[in-house]
Amino acid sequence: MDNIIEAKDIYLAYDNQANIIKNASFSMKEGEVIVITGVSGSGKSTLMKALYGSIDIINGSLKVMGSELYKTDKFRIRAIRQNIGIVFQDYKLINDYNVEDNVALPLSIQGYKKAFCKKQAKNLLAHVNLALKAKRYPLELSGGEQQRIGVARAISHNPKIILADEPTGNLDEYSSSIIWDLFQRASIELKACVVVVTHTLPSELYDFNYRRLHLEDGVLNEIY
Amino acid sequence: MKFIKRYFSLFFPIFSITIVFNMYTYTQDLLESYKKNVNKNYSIIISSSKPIKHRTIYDLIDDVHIIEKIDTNKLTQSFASTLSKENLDLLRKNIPYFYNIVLNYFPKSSKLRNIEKNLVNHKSIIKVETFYEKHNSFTEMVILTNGIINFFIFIVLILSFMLIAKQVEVWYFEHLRTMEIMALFGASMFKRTSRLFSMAIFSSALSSFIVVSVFYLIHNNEVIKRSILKMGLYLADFSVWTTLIESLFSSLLVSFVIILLVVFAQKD
Ligand SMILES: Nc1ncnc2c1ncn2[C@@H]1O[C@H](COP(=O)(O)OP(=O)(O)O)[C@@H](O)[C@H]1O
Ligand SMILES: [Mg+2]
Repeated sequence: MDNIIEAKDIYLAYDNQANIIKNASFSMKEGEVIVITGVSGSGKSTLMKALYGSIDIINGSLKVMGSELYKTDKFRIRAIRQNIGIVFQDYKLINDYNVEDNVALPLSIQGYKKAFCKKQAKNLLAHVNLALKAKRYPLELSGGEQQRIGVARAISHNPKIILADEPTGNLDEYSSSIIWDLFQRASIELKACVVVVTHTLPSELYDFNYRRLHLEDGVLNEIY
Repeated sequence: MKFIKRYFSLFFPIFSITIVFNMYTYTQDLLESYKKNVNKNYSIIISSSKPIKHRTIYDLIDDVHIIEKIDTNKLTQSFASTLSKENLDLLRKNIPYFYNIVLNYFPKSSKLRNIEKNLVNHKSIIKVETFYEKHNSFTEMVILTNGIINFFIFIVLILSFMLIAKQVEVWYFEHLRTMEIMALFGASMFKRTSRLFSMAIFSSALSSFIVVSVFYLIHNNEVIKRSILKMGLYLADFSVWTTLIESLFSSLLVSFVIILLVVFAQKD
């Protein structure tokens, strides 16, 4: 089976500054879950940006869904991004869209009918316990609520890849377990590749199969 | 409120384009009708020592509509009682031939002078009479007024174009963050700016509707109708559908072109 994500000896840096990530390699097949840990500032978010084509690698090879990202044109990048669901560390919700429209954004971008978008958004909001806030606006909600909207948006379009940057950072244990549950289901039911950057690993009690990578001093190591 | 403000930022410049566009066609129609009317009552009269063939006149000037020989018998007949038969015959023999020429179009005064010169140069033509003075005063004023109106219409159009471009740019920078987020989920530039296009469609539709209503009222206003009739002018019946489609099409075309120019000037 082909790798959905394949990073070989990649180097990452912001325009001509020192390398933030050096010589990192890893690959993922469909349905796999990877958890990335590392102290603040170690480059976890930077690695995520590379995975959705927001920054280019300096060196090495990074293939997502079979395409070498830095070589592909914007049309292919768009097509790949439509198959990715991203949860951003700073949420990145659209403040003048209501909650429902935020969740349905990836679907509406892909041209799905309004009624279908609404139905899917309602469905997901119910999963993250926000069904009652569908018509509210992001700035009227708490950080934890915004974060859950970000998660709902990231899985609304049944993506092949989910990239979540500290998705449980602002959540209590109960809400976190809901999010982990959603990711696990996405990996099993949708065969999605799930990459989660986190400080808090899923509870030991929780039956969850995942690989763990650790970032330290620019080096990425697979721990288990 | 926010929604209304957003939608109306494009409405006003698009509305002024639509209304000015229709004003232009309206005044142009009036002017055409006026020119036709002036033309009807207008003629060039020539007198010549010998009969002139129509062909000769066609060769001298372009676009002749009618050439009429003016009957001089009636004129000479009125002298029958006062003049002796001999003198009357002499008069008949010597009276020049008169022709009335009507052109297909309404000539400018410079053109008219040219025509006059061409005719006078012909050896048997004695005199050319054009209604040059009458033509010069009122008609020139009408044409001048129309020119001024067209100039202002042109200025308003340019300003409206610039205002649309400015509003699109403002919208673009206000929505940079939203568009960035959409891009991260794979939206094309067209999709990211689709709200701009829907604003343009909304504004064009509303403007066209209002403008058509306004011109419908103008065309059916009794006072205006009567004064147009009094001037001997004629305006074709107002077609709601043609006007609506023309207004909608032109405002959409203009706003879409400006949006595309502004948006795609930014880097993707
Ligand atoms: N846009 C940027 N331009 C320049 N440097 C940046 C930028 N974003 C992050 N960095 C730097 O890159 C390093 C890694 O940041 P980041 O990937 O956000 O770390 P983490 O997500 O692990 O906390 C940090 O030293 C940070 O200062
Ligand atoms: Mg980070």
